[in-house]
Amino acid sequence: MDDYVIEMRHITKTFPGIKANDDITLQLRRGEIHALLGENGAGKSTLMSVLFGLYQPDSGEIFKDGKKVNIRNPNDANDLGIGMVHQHFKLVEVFSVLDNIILGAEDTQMGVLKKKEARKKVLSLSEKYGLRVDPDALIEDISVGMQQRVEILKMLYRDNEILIFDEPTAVLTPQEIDELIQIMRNFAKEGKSILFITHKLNEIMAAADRCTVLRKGKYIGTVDIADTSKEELSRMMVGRDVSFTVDKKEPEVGDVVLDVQGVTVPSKIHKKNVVHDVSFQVRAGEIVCLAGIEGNGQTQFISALTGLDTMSSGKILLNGKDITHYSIRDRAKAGLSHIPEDRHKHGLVLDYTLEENIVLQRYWEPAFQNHGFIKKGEVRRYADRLIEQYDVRSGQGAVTVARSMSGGNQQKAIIAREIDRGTDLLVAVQPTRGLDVGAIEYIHKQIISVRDSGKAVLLVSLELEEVMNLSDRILVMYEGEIVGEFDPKETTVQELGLYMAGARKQENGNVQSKEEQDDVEK
Amino acid sequence: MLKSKLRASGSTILSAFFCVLIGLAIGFIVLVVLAYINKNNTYQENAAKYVDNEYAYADVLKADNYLTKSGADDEIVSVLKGEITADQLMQVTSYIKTNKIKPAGKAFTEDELAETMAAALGIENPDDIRSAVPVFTDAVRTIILKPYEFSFGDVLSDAYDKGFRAVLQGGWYNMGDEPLGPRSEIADAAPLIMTGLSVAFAFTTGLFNIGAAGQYTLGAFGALLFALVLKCPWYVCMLAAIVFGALWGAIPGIFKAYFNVNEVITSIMFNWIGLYAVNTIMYGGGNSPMYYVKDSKTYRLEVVSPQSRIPDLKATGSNYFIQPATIAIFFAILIAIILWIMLNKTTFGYELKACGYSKTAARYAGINEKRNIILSMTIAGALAGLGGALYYLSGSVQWNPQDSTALPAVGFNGISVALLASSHPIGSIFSALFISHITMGGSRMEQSIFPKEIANIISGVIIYLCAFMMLFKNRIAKLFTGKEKGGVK
Repeated sequence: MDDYVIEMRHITKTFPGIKANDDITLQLRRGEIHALLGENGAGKSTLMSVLFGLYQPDSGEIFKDGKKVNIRNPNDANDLGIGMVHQHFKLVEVFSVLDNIILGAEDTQMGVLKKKEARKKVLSLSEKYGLRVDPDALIEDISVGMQQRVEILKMLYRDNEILIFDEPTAVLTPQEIDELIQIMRNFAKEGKSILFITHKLNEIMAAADRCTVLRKGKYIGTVDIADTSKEELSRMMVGRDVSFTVDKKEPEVGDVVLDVQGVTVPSKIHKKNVVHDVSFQVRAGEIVCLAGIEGNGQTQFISALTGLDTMSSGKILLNGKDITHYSIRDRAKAGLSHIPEDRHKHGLVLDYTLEENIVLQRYWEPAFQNHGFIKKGEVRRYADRLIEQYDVRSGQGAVTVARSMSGGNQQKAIIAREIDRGTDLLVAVQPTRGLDVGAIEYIHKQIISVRDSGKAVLLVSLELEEVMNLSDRILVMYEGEIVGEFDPKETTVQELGLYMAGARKQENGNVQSKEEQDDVEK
Repeated sequence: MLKSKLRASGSTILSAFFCVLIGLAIGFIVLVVLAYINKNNTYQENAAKYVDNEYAYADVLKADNYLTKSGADDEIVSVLKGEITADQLMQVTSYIKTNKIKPAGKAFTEDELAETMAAALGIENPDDIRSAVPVFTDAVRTIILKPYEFSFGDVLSDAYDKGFRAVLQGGWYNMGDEPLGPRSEIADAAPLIMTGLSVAFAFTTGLFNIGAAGQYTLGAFGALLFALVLKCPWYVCMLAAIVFGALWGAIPGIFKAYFNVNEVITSIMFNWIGLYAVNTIMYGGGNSPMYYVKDSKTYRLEVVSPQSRIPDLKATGSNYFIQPATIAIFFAILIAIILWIMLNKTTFGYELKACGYSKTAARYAGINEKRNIILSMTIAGALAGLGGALYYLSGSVQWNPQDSTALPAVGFNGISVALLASSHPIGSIFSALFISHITMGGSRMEQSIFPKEIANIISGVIIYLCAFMMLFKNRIAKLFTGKEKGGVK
């Protein structure tokens, strides 16, 4: 028999309207890195919360070292040696690293903290596992990566043997991810067992020994990583084949739909312009991507384009009509739809139901209102059609409150709403931010089908992979200016990276290095 | 779908009912405590008069009266402990009474008492009886305090008869316990519904209209101005009130929309600006055309301008619906229904609510959120303003411009109404009726024992409980459905 350090058998947990875990069995061997894979809303977090004592299962049993245990709260979990690094760190910002590590497990002598011993232990742990931290730094002053190391040290300080990592790589840079994987390997070598929750396949292939896959609350299977492939894992996770490359036809480019001429947007913080003299065109039947590192004026440019903010000079033509001074509503009527960057802030009224959100951009159309009275039946029919057509999943269908839906489905609802309006121009800002593989693939397909139906698409994205896969033309934005235009077939990620970092700049098709450019200006 | 909707609203109403019951229960407990304190205080005050051997001549007379009427009972006999008999006790008291030993109001000293007792009982040496003096005083004390003794049952019946009964009856009886019918309660509820709607409406659109009191004041002013000075018919006066109230709501709205000034601050300031401005104009140094010096209030409506009075609510053959009950209540209910339709069925309501829930998302959807802020504050003001008209055009009340320190309570009670109704327009009708009921009941309680603010405690407790409503709601919903079912897609 295998040496299982933790066994969760037939766990079922129901929330009103949804079965989050349905008869799930998870077996964790001693000294292995075990990945828990699933899309958003597959039930990974619920399962881990059951293990950590945050939820009580409706049925099912948990065994530790073959003995049945009852975990009623996180303290019980701690006593059993189970520790967890949460996706959103649970640290006291104004405490020092050392204080945070010992918080909740303080050793005291006559009511006085024994900090010296604690410091010694923390330092020796941090040396042993290569977890570099400064014990006296305040949490608010250190980087996210270091905060994560503090969370890990917290678990080690409590001598936990079972370490749960909830989406630990979401906040890390590529270098930090490699480092984390190395640290996890060291733990496994020590005999500690690791549960690693993620939906990123590359990391699982790189780090894990075995992988358990969940889908829609159900147990799909457990596989050895050595015997499997990325494709098989993603098939298990999504339930069908997922293509990692986007298939698309050659674009059939038509007339100019969007013509941006010299748009300049002043900054609200300083006196400089955040967007400076930006001009480009988007034609029917093509996807133009505005690429760049975050904070280079893309957000402000889109705000000006969609009317959320004002611009100081320049002109915007949509189908030849000057919409520079149009209101947001008039722009929408003129044929502009907008998938906003922040779906909670702009995209949805979170306390409205799904159907009310689906008509957010068209409730005023005669199809949905009669002399100011909303046609509830029409709204319901329309919402049901879109929910069906775009596979938006929710607890109670059209009357689900948007706030209670998963991020992926919220985004799907927005995309359904904006695409279904059938406008000539679709502005999509980071449409796949924070979504899992299945949802990303789906949204990419939708955007391409919009293009293929002869509409113009302006895509803003920070993900270079997405930029390369989707777009027909790439515009790179740096410090509020367009510094280059590329054909994705003739460029590389590395070349784009140079432009995005501001190291190079194109001027009227001539490639110059930044230094030369400066010389010319002098 | 309809079934589940019915069930949901059924459980909401049931849980609200629970909250009301618990609120009343807590109110009753407070009344019991107060009744006990009152009883106990009376007892202690009387008991405090009898310290050691000192007691007043008058009290001996009282004791004698008691004894001659009902004789010594077991309790007194047990106090006497054989030092003197019950008969001897009576002998002493009647001796003191018949011989008028002391002038009224004077107290005996121990020596005097011993001498008197010796004389009464025919004992030669007063020292022989000295040991019986404290026994005698104890017995008198027991007799005197007898009527102040109370059992828990007395406390309960006090709490109910003198307090709680009035709260339950509300305004259905007058101070002399004569049945009035719902007329004064309805008259009270109509303006309260309006201020409640004003606050509830603003809440729904994401604004906190704490200025209902000021808008109500302005509305009252507008109505009285058109009634007393211009002698307009009542519906014109009501329109004037709406305009004045709307104006007073719109200004904080404009500040909020264009300068991002918090509406709470501006509307509180506008409450006071409104109150003092209205009082100054209405009083006008005593020469204002609206001010009637004899009453030191505004002129009586039925004397000066009878056509400005809102018609009475007359039911045939009954005096239950005469003044002050006017058809105002129908206006209030009608407006509540119109508001509900507007908020839930129209694009305008959709826009207003969207602004309330998420200003940014509303803006993204092309909704003009500045316009909507001003509009909803204007409408909220108009609602509260109409409330002022409904009250002051009923003909039974006059504005007192010299009582200038207090804003009308009905403005702030509107907040309670809105909270209790969780901002639902139709719910506001019922919560206003309820609040007006217990507020009127509160003022009918025996004021020497129970302060009328108990009514506010009750409504406060109920509002707090309503905040915990979600907890009850799920429990109660379970009663309906049995075990909750999972796995619904």
